[in-house]
Amino acid sequence: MIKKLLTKVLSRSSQKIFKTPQDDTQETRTLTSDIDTNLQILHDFFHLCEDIVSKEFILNLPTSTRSFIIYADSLCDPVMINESILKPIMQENYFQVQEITTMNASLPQIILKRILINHQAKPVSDIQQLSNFLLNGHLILVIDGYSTAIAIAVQGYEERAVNEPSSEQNIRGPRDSFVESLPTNVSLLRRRIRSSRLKYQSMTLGEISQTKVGICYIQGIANDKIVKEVKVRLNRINIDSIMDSGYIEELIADESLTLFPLVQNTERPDRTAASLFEGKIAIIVDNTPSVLIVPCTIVSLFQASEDYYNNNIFATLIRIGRFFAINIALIAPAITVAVFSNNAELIPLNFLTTVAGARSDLPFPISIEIILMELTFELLREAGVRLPRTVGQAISTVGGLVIGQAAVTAGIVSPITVIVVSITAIASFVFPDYSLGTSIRILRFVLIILSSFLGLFGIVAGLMVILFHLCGLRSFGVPYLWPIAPLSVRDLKDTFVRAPWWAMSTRPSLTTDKESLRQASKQGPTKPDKEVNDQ
Amino acid sequence: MLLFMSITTTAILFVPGIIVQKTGQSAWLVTLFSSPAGIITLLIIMKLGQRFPRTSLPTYSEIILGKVIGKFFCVAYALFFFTANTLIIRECSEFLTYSLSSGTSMIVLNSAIVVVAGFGAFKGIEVIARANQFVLPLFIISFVCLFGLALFKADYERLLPLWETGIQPILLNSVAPASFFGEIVILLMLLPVVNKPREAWSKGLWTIFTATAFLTICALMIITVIGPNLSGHLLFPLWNLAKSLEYGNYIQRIEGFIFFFWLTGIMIKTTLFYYLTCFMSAQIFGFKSYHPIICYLAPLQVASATFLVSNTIQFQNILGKYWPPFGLFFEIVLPLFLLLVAVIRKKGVGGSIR
Repeated sequence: MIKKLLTKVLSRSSQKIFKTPQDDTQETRTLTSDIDTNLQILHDFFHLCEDIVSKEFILNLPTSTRSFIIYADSLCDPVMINESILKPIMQENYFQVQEITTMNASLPQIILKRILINHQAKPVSDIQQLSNFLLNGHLILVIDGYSTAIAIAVQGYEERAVNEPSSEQNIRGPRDSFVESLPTNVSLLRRRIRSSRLKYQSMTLGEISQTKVGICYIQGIANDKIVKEVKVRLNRINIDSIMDSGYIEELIADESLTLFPLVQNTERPDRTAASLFEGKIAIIVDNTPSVLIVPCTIVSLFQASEDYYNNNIFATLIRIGRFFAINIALIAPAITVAVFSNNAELIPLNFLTTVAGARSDLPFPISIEIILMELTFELLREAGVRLPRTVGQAISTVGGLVIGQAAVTAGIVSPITVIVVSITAIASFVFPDYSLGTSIRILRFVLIILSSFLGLFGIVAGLMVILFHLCGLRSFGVPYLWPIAPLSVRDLKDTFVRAPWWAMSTRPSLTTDKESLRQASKQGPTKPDKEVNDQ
Repeated sequence: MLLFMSITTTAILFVPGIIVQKTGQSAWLVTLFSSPAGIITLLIIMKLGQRFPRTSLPTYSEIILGKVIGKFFCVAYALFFFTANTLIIRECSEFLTYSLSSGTSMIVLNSAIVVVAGFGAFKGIEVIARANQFVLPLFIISFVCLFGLALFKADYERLLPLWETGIQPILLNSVAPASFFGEIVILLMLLPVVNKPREAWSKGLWTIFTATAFLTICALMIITVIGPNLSGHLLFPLWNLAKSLEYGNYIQRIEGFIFFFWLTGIMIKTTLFYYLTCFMSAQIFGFKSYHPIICYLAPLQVASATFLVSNTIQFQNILGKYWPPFGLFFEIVLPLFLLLVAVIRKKGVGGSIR
């Protein structure tokens, strides 16, 4: 009901079909064979774009032919243009070329086939297509007398080098992370999956920004229906620009009114590749280091890639720890509020005296106290993210002092509150997925307020509502709580526990299509009968 | 679809503890005797389900009984679900006031319960089932832990004068828990949406057996730990059982823990009944969606749960004396009647019943 109302209000403004202003002026136009007209067309097209430069020159043909190149100064490598494009074209002795004398082939064809053989070059004649090439860092070569131009790839712009992932760090396992460049990101994946079955399809989204978006999946492993659904949803997007994969995440999610991430995002290539082997689909967006993975279940948000590299027993324990951590992060402050304000009888007696003594002359009730401290912590966290790195040190010192000692000694909050808030804070950093953490942060406040009104029952009521909500969520048709509810016993091997690799014989059954088997069976550890030294 | 029936397990658990105590130390036998009621209900429902596959109660009751009586029949059932839900909400809030939120006013608790249940009901049956599936393992584990801990405290001498009261009071008193077993009648509504109706029979039986086992163990534990005399006077003996458990200085006050799972179980049951009430009335009045009804029924439900029963004693009386025959009437007699009429008038798919 609320959702309907909301969508109604929100979508009123976009009733008209979205149309770019350029659509009216430039219908499908093609190049002419006259060079001056061509030059004029392109100049008009890129009017007031000073980074698009053109240069005229004469080709050494039997009859000297005028031609010009046009390229985006900001996107191309000048050395490459001079050394490996212009030089060969200018220096080529066209008299020797047989075809030119017999006039069998057109000049652009010859240049494509004979001179620019070590470049990615394509003939273009459509203006729109040409401008696309140009804005993607191609150099366009136009020759007088021909209505076909040549687009040559000479991209060269600053890129961040592949670094360690900043938000998902690990001790064991690969340390590279995605960067802002789409080709580099695809290469990081391709290096891990050297198979023709890793499919990569790209499309351009964003009417003006023309952002490249790529879908990766492994054919035969990914569920065809989900792949199709992803494509349908991506094609439905009609927006002017895409700055980050977050745009796409919200545009393709199943449900708009939810706090929980319905699309997983990661900056780790190894994690993405592993997800592809589970039949998931990666959506890579240009200019974004975070890659989207769909479908996403809440369990997958608990899985760190390191779990799969470490000893499985250790990984299992860590995972169980994470499940505890999420519970602590979600309800620890709320329970404290409920127990201290309503049900003090639940505290063991000898502890109660200490607590009551500490709390006896504090100005606020515990609910206010906890909310206050949680808010302070949230502020500190936000400040820590936004601040320049040099000031960060100062903030953490001040924050630590304010939150910790000073507030207690000043008699504003009780030590218990500080302990609870800090435990909560630590617990909320445990799970590997940042966006899940944000939803937990919000829900924590909701639960604190509920429990201050209704006590423990308030927490239960709140948790029930969350549970109902979670049960109703789906990500690309996959229930969000799967494989816990609906229960799939076979798939529990990778939820609370991380089964040893030799036992992970099947892929997750809901996301994969045909090939459910991961490996040959019975690869478990075997012991030789005799020791090596035994005779 | 899924194991809806497990919902009944969660729900059945807490109340019989109240009533059964009247029979003293032989109370645990009562639960054993009452389970046939559940089996009978299940049998009737399955037969009806076979005759009218994939159709719901309102549709086929009209086929069997004719339009007017059929409608009347359905209204009666909607009212039954409504009353049952009222009682469940009341049970829940009674428990809350008894256990942890003693100061809170009944109306606030009831509204909170109804809001949560309404939210769940709004999401539909699939969500309720999944939520149940999520909670059930936790629920069972917590109770197994509880029973495990209680095992050490148990004093089996207390069971001893077996059959002291004779068989009669045991049988008489088994009517009350029987009405709870009869709650499996919700299957009447759920059967059409179950994904694998063929498995419903075996799973339903399973549910009844596990529920019986649980209840029997529960009654046994209460009697052995607390003793028949004291537990007869307690409103929620199981709660006191949890409260009394204490091992050294480490394991104390586990009832707070149990409270959580207990409450979630009750909440899911309320949600289910709420859903059924709304779904049923929507079908009777031919609404396209049951969603608006949730909003209309919510204040009614709160009001009825708060004001219909004035105090705890009266509530206990209703649960113990008046509700069981009333409930059993709807749970066994009416479905049986429906089945008989269907057989006589030869409605539905084939006369042959496997």
